[in-house]
Amino acid sequence: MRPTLSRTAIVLFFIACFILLYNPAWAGYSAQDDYYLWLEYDIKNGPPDSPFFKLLYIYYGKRPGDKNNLQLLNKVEAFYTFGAKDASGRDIYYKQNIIKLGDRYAVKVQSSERRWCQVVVKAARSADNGRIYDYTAKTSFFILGHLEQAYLDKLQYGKEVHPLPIWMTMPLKVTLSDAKKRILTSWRSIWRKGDLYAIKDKELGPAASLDTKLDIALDRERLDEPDNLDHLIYFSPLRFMVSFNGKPLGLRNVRVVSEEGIEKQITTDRSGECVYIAGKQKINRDFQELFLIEDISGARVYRNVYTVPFKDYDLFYDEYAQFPLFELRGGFGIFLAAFILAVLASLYLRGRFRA
Amino acid sequence: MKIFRLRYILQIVSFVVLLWGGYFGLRFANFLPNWTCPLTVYEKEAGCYLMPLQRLQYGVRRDPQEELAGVFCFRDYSVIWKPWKTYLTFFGAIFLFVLLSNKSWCGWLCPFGTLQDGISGVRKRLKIRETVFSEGTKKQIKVVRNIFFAMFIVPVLVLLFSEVFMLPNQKLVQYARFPHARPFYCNLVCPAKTIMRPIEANIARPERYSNNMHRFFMYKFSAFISGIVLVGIFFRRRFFCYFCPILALLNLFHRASFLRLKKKQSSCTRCGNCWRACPMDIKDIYENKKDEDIERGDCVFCLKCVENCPENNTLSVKFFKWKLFVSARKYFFNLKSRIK
Repeated sequence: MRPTLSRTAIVLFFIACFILLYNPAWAGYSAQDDYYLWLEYDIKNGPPDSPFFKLLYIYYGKRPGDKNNLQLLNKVEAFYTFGAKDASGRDIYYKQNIIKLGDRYAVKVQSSERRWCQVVVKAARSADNGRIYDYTAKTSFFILGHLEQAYLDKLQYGKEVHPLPIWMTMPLKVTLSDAKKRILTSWRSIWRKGDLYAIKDKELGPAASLDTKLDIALDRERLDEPDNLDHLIYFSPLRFMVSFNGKPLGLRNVRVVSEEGIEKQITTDRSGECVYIAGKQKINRDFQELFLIEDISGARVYRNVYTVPFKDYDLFYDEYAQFPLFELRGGFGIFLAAFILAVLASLYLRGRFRA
Repeated sequence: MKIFRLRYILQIVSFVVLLWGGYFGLRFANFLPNWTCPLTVYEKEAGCYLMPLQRLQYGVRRDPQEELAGVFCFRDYSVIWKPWKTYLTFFGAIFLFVLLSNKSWCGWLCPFGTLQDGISGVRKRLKIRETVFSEGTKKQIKVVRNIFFAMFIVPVLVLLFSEVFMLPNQKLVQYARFPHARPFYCNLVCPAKTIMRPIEANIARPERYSNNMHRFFMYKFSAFISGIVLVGIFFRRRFFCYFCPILALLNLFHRASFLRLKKKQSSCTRCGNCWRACPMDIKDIYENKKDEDIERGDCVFCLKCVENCPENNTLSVKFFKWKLFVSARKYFFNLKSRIK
């Protein structure tokens, strides 16, 4: 054999080996083995909160921005809870239907009163290599954040928000607080003569038990002040707790993936806790980040994603807190310059100062 | 009760309620939309200088604990105005207010007016001479006021007509959500927006105070205007009222008001006390020898002229045909605080 031919054959042999080695089918895994299941808020079309509804899109893929592959999963189940607990102290979850909106899948939760809510979507997949992938997507939020946006909701959700007569929303059995509410509501509606938007609570679906082995939980209270998820702000420290079968998972990596697919890593401490502070977003006032965690137990691979919506409320956010009061740039300089100029101009124009 | 005492009391009550009422559950924007800026329906942080409280109303309500503290805040229901209704109520309420009480908002209730009075009081204590504007300067200032008024009203009308002529809802919503949908005047000029913020110290959350202070300097052009206005207020009584577009807005309807300022020409001695007492320096009130109706466009209806008139039954405030307050020699000589 000629030397060039033999060299070409060797190169071709290695290329073939390389291809075979990295061929998912030959190597015994599929492309889906890198996939995660996560929930996304529709931030681009509006802020991630609304008075009555919360729409969460379900994605299945590698990272945000990928094509949604949810149809590849056979059984996807959605649950939600408003935080009620049963006798044994476990959260009572209710099943919720998954709806298809265009080419996307979503879960919609609604409530007529301000409530904390958690949505969990679960799915499982058996891979060709015998492994079973167990996916959990989770997020929590407040419903009824902006009362003043009900009108916008009416535009968005149309028929689902009805202007209702007050009496229809009142319970038959009138308690003292109901009576007070009824009097004040009527009084106010007379004053304002506005549209009264009210929705009845959606019928709660069948209660379901939710068995989540690998769990990532977010402290509902921020660390620095008694606030809640509704006020998540940039720089606001969040505390996560990672556990498996109820036991804390210490020294475990948690991947934090932004909407743009930029990835960071944080590590839990020995008690399974980790603290995360989001970076300042220059463009988006509202954004979301995914917290990914994985654990392998025998042939089962558990993948859990927690979606955290971040918001910037000017009121609750002290952008200049790091600067001492009189080291302000820009605005203060302009104010001071205008003030001094005005004083000088007045003194010059007035001629004399005292009466 | 002396009129000036009643005015001081009302000014202070109004100042406290409108600025800090939100902390005690008195959130008028939830309850009475009348005096709130129609463009701040979707805004959380906007603070109208008519009602600086408004910022708080949309703000503190977001805190669940404080939300429950609100007297008129309901957890289950939400009463929301469609934009055109908001505008209609806004202008309707202003018309009704002017119809019943003329421009007494400016003289008796406006928190920024009260602040101006307070600063002028300090100047008087320091015995610093007041700056006097010439008639020519006042005319030039009126032009500036009209420009400010146009900046204030034009975006409101544009939004109103965009809804009336059925622009696609989604676009309107997006525009309404856009922070710059506020009138240009509010964004660019309004000094009360910046000056009032440090005063609206958040009692419920003192740690937020520095944020409020920093907001003072957030709007650069407003900060520039504020510097000038603060100096102006110090040297001239009711300095900003000369420029205020709300005074121009109230002036649109003031001729229809039932509350009138009248002058009996026959008993006027042209002493000029009314003019010297007037915070707006309206010379016409004593120079005019023909008209019975003496109220002018710059008038803020503080009634200091009536208080300081030494002639019996010469200046009076009438509601329809009923005289509410009449100048009297005895009242004048009993008055402790004399002119200036």
